Parts: sequence; C-alpha cells; structure tokens
Amino acid sequence: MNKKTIIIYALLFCVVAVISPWIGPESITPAEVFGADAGALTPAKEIFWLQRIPRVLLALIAGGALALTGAAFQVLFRNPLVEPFTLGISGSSSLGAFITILFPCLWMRWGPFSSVQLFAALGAGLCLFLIYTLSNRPEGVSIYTLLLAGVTISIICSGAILLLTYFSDPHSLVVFQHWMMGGIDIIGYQSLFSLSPLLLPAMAVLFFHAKELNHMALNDEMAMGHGVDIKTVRRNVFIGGGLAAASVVSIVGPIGFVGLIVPHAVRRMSGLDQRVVLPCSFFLGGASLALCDTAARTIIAPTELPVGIITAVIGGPLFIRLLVSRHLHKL
Amino acid sequence: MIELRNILHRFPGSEWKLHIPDFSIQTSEILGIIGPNGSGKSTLLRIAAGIIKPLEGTVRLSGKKINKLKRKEIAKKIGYLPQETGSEYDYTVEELVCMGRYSYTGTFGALGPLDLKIVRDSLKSTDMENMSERRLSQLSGGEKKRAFLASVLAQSPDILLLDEPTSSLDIHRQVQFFHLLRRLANQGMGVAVVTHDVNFASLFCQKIVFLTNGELLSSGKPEKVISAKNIKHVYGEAVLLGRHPETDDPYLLPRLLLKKTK
Repeated sequence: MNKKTIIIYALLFCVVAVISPWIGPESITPAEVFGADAGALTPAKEIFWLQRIPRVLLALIAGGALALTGAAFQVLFRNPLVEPFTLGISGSSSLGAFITILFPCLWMRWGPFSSVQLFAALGAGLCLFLIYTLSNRPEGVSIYTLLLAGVTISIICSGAILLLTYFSDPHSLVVFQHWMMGGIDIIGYQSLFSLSPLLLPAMAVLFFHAKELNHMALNDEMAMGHGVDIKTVRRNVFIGGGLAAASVVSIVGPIGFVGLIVPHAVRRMSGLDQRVVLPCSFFLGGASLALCDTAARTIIAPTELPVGIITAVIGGPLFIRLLVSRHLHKL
Repeated sequence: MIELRNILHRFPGSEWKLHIPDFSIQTSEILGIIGPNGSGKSTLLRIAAGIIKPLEGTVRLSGKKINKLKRKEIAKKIGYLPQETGSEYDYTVEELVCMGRYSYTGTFGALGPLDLKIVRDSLKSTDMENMSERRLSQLSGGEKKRAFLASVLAQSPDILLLDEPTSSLDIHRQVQFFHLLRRLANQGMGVAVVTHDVNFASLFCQKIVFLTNGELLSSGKPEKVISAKNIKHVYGEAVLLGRHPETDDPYLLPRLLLKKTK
C-alpha cells in the first residue's frame, strides 16, 4: 500500500479546504476575519464562518462520499459505468423530496433535519431495501439482479416524478427543479450535523472493506478461495455505499459525475489497490466538488449556478475522453 | 486432510446429481480427478473447497465440519484454484500474489517481512519471479495460470485443489507444472487436481478418482483405475489404452474411427 500517494491526495484536499472559503462573490480578507474586534460578528466574519466554511465543508464531505461510494460500487459490481446513483438512489430520493415539496402539510423541521431531507433519505432507504430483497438469494446477493432492479426502480421513480410534475403547481416545480440540480448553498452547520449520523458509519464500512474489495475484482470463486467472505462483503458494501449516497443526496440533491469520474481518475493516476483508491477517491472527490462549488458561486457572481450543472459540464466531456482512451476497458 | 462423506448434490432445476459415498484428500500425495465433461469433477472440487454446500453429506477439514469454519480459516489450509481465473482489474503479478496472504493480514492488509518472503517464494516456485511487475493483460494464458497458482501457493495451504490448471499450457509447461505439484507433494502438501489429461494423471498421481455422470466409477492407483474396462465404459471405442514405454503406466491414445483421407 502506497501511503505517500494517500498523503499527497490528503494534502490536495487540505489545500482546497483552506483556499476555497476565501473565494466568492464578496471579497473577504484574512484581516477582516481574524483581525481586531474579536468578539463582534462583522458581515465578513458572518459570510466566512456561517456561509463559506460550512459550504466548503459540505462540498468536501459530500464530494468525497460520492467518489468513495462510486469507487467501491465500480469494483463491487465489476462495472466501470456504475456510480452511486445507479441503484435508483437518485430517482427514489428525488421522488421522496418531490412528494414533500408538493404537499405543504409535510413541511417540517426537527432540529437539524428537514422533512425534504428526511423523505429523500426515506425514499432512498426504501429503494435500497427493495432491491436488496429482490436480489437476495440463498447463495448470496446477485449483483446483476441488484443492478437491474436499481435501473428498474430508477425508471419507475422517473415515471412517478413525471406524473406528479403534470399535476403540480409552478412554484413547487421551480423548487423541485432547483433541488434536482444539486446545491450545497447551506447556511450554518445544521446540514453538516444532520449528515453525520448516517454518513460517518457508512463511510467507515466502505474503508473497512477496502482490502476485500481488491479481491472482488477477481471472480467469486477465486476471491472465496483467498479467504474472502464475499456474501458479507457484498452486503456490507452495498448497504454502506447505499446509505452514504442516500444521506448525501438527501442534503445536496443528485450531484452527478463526481462518483463516476473521480474513481477512474484516481485508478488511472495511482493504481488499482483499493486501499489506496478508496481514500484517494474520497480526497479527490471532496476537493473536486469544493472547486466546482467555488466556480458555481463565482463565475456568474453575484448570482450562483447550481453546482450540479458545473459537475455535469466538466464531468461529461471528461468521461467521454475516458471512454475513447480505452481506459474503461481495463477498468 | 479433507474428508467427504455421503455427498449428494443437485443444482436447482436440474435432473443431474452428484453422488459420492466416501472420498478423502490426503496430505503428501497427488490425487487426480478424471472423467468426461459433465461428470461432476469441478462440482466435487468446489464441494471439497467449501465453495458450494452439498444438499446432503458432510465435508470435514482436519476433522472439523467445513461449513462451521470461517473462509479465512479454510483459506489457510486449502488453496483453491478454480477453472476460470479472470480479473476485472489489470493487477500486476505481484499484486495478485500478495492477495494470497489476505487471511494472514490485519484490517488494512499490510504485509510483513514473512508475508513478503512467502510471496517471493511462491513467485519463484511457479517460475514467475521475472514477471512480477507485469500486468495480467501482458501475460499468456499459461503465464496467467501460473500467476494465479502463485497467489494460491502464497496462502501456505496444506492442501491444493486445482481445477484444470494445465488446460492452457503447452506440453513442456504441463510437464513442468506436474513436476512442481510432485515437489509440493513431496514437501508434505496434499494436491487434488481435476484434469482431462488421463495420461498426465496416470504418470504423476499416486491416486486417481474416475467419475462418470455424477457417480464414482472407480478410485485407487492409476493402474487399477485406468483399466480397459473403465476406459471403454466411459469413452467407448474412441480411445486406445497402452503402456508408457518408460514407466509402464497406462496411457491413452486417440483411435482413428474413420478412414484417414489426405
């Protein structure tokens, strides 16, 4: 395992974490944030501590979690085109969020948790439970049934969303469309707190199985012969990755491409060892989303673009380049 | 030692069944498992390796029921090389062989000096030392097979279960491969090898198990199992039974059933 590689990616993550909060439509200097009048909450301090820092932290964590899940899922499903949302998580959580947005009676808040977030997570959780139940066989979970069930649920959810769109009022549609574009324009730290109970254990499960994931690229019998309990690994990585993606999407919406592109980039630059690929994907995914978000809030300042647009605009061409460079054939 | 007792296995939706009354794989010997296509050789090996659980019967590894053991415990005693050995990722040979030490490593799979020595030894014994940096996609079929065998040897098992390991090797490499198996058996390892090559089994195995249509036709020393009666029963008139000129072991030759045309 190459620890130096992980440290380099971690440094990049830290550099982005330190620099990003200083970039935005309003110019802020370190003197304004750390200068005199220590006790007073000046506008510069408010922007820095209550908007920029939580936003950058959310981008780093959400991007990292999506890339980490993508890396784990691509080897688990032995498919280079899989991303965190392939399993229908995006569609089901979007449906959950849309139902909440449509019905004002469902608008509630419990501490750091909002009802949109809760229903989005519930939708994703229900989807995970459904596809796991459908694909669970006595001999273990069938990865092909998992994929097919996920794609089918995505299609069903898209149909349901279209139906609801047909009957919904314009205001709800605008709110939903904004949610769908993905955004990390949060204020304060509540969203970060609400993210952690599910996301931290889910990511820990993925990191814990990095060693086993190396064997999952071999065929099942070979992996079992090496001593890997593939049923347990498959179940844990599926649930861990699913919950990580569900908790992220419930807060930032379905931000695409980070979970697809970043793991490929890491494997291309730093090898195939999952014990390196997983942490490096987390660091690069976090740094990438934070940079995309920095671009989202600055390129048409004072207005902002949803970050999902930036990731799609940058990610799409990059993915096509990967496709034509034959890299995907070798995973 | 692996002991199988009253094994009965059937795949869902299939009439075919494997029925083996008693069968054991001992240390310090090479056991050949032969038989025509669909006779149940690979299924028997999978059951012995604990990869699939039979419908009836028990498999014991060193006296303990194999289904009560964790996969890591099994992997420390049994090295299993399946027939299909592909990888979705283009690992280097060394990365692949290091994976064989999985059962001995901690949470993050760091290898110690002893693990690295065993990896080097495994590469050396399979003649893959000079190819350790090569990627799997850069290897020939035979080299790939040897790389996977090295990863299995890195498990330091007591018993090797190999499913058609020489199917993609040229005759020179096949001879080398079986000599390697003999060396391992002489060092105390038990080897069970599924093969279609009756001649290699006859020459290199101390014991042979002959399966046909899911049943045990015969087992014992090669000269007993590879008899004219058994060969005719399984392969019909298509093969000719002869004797090896140097060792007097039985061997098979294809018989020309149609008139030769040129």
